[in-house]
Amino acid sequence: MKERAYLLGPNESMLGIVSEPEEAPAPERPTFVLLNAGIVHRIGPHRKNVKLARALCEAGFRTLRVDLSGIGDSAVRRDALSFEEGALADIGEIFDDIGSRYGTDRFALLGLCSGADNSFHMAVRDERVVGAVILDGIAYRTPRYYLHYYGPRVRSASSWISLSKKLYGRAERKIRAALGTDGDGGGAPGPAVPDYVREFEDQPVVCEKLQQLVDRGVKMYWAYTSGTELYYNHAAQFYDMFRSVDLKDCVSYDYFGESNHTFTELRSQTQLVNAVTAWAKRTWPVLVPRSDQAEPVGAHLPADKSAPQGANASA
Amino acid sequence: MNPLHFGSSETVLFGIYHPPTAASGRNRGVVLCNPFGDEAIKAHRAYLQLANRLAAERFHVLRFDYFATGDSAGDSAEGSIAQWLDDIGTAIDELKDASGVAKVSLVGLRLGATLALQAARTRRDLDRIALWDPIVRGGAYIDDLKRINEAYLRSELGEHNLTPERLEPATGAEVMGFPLTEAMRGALTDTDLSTIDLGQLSKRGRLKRATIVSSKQNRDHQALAAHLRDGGVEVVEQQVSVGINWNSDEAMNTSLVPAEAIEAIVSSLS
Repeated sequence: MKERAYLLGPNESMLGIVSEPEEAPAPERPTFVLLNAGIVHRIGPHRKNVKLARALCEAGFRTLRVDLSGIGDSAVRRDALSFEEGALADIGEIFDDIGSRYGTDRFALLGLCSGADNSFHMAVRDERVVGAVILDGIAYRTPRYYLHYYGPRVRSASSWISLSKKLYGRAERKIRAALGTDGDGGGAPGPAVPDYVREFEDQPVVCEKLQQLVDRGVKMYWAYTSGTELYYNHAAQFYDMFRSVDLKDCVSYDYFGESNHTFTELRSQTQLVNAVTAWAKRTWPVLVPRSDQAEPVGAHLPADKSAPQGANASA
Repeated sequence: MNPLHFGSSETVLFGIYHPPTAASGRNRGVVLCNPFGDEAIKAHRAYLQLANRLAAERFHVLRFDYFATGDSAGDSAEGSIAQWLDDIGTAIDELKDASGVAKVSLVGLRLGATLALQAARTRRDLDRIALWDPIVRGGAYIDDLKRINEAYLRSELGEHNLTPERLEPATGAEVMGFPLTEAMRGALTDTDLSTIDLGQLSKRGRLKRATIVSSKQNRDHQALAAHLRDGGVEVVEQQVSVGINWNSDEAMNTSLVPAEAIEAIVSSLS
């Protein structure tokens, strides 16, 4: 593997590092572009992007980890685009630059959190995107989400005690309010409101966009962690959220239920790296020359043994 | 800003060279030494600002990642204190080669300051050193990291999920997403800057000045200052009013940088 740093874009204002496999990647294999998570610079939380970039490179994919404008070592954009629009414009300029340097127009985006959202929206916008790894991306609560949320609490004695206290407190407040001494409205216990806000488009709009991507043949790996438990809490929720979309063979989804949002523990990092690399190898297998074939061209490579604890499904 | 790879083929390092912004640069360089693990990620923005400020003051500046950290080669578990001390020497030589400067100053934050001072003991070509909230006693630092890691995992994963195995994995100790190897723990435990042999530093005039920038009153910093003075080093102690918990999520998510500390460092090297 060889790594090389570039200043990318029309103004050479974005810093990125390309990891190039020893052997040139097959032309059908996309170049993976690893995006920033929030404002963490290109190495990613806990150096996760470096690990992912190098593992994918070892598997035969060219990768680029890059700072978008205004993040890490990249300068801010000179135009007046919003942060969201600027990010998508950046990615387009990165495709132009890397595409001309390496002679490719096939890219796969990989992002966590804001990087996931940017990956999805750019995939919709730009047909050079043929794949995406979307980690803790767009999600919507479903009826089964609430079952998973309330189920353990209904079975838990401590939850009944907690609920009793809340009901008792509410009754006490009502009495005090009636007496004119005190009281607020209280509220039913339920999933908390997160202390940060990610705004997702309306679910039907996202379903429509996801269908467009599938119809275009974009290969996607969606995975969630316990860090998104305020809106995603079980492996099959993805299927419920996008039940109206014909996912064909384009989408795999996973649930890393024991990992936090940034994959802090080393074992979580290893599980993620193995899962993403195995998916990439399955999705864009090395084509074996006909004379050496032991099985049909395009056969899936065996999945990595170290799979995450959730589902590893193809819908 | 010029990104570059340098060092030996076995331990390729990644760095960013900031030339002076004015045509008439000083004949002096500054190498910035990263703190450890997650702290280095959270200090990235502050280091970028510091490098830009120093370049604006006509210094040649090199930021870099130690082997097995950041964008440099190597798996995270391959890092070691001895290797990182070598890396600082390699970075000093690279900056001299790239810029032509004869004298170099070192700046380090937290463990970066600890490493900078240790590396400085073997060099004859250093000008000044700025130690920003230096880790003086490695053993106490390990205890701090473990406590911070446990509190973080508890808040992230929930008390009921925090098994002993997750706090002390059989695969080896880790803190805030980075391995803390047995060798690293051993080297840190043995580290106490307030008692170390100062080597070349104790030769009068070898180092023009050491500045200790503290974001809070710290007896360890006072002990270090006294030890350096006893060794014949001129020491300036600088107190700044705003400190940052470099292991906190706030340090990651804030776009603010500790301007007072940065200005104190810039003026200490000018």
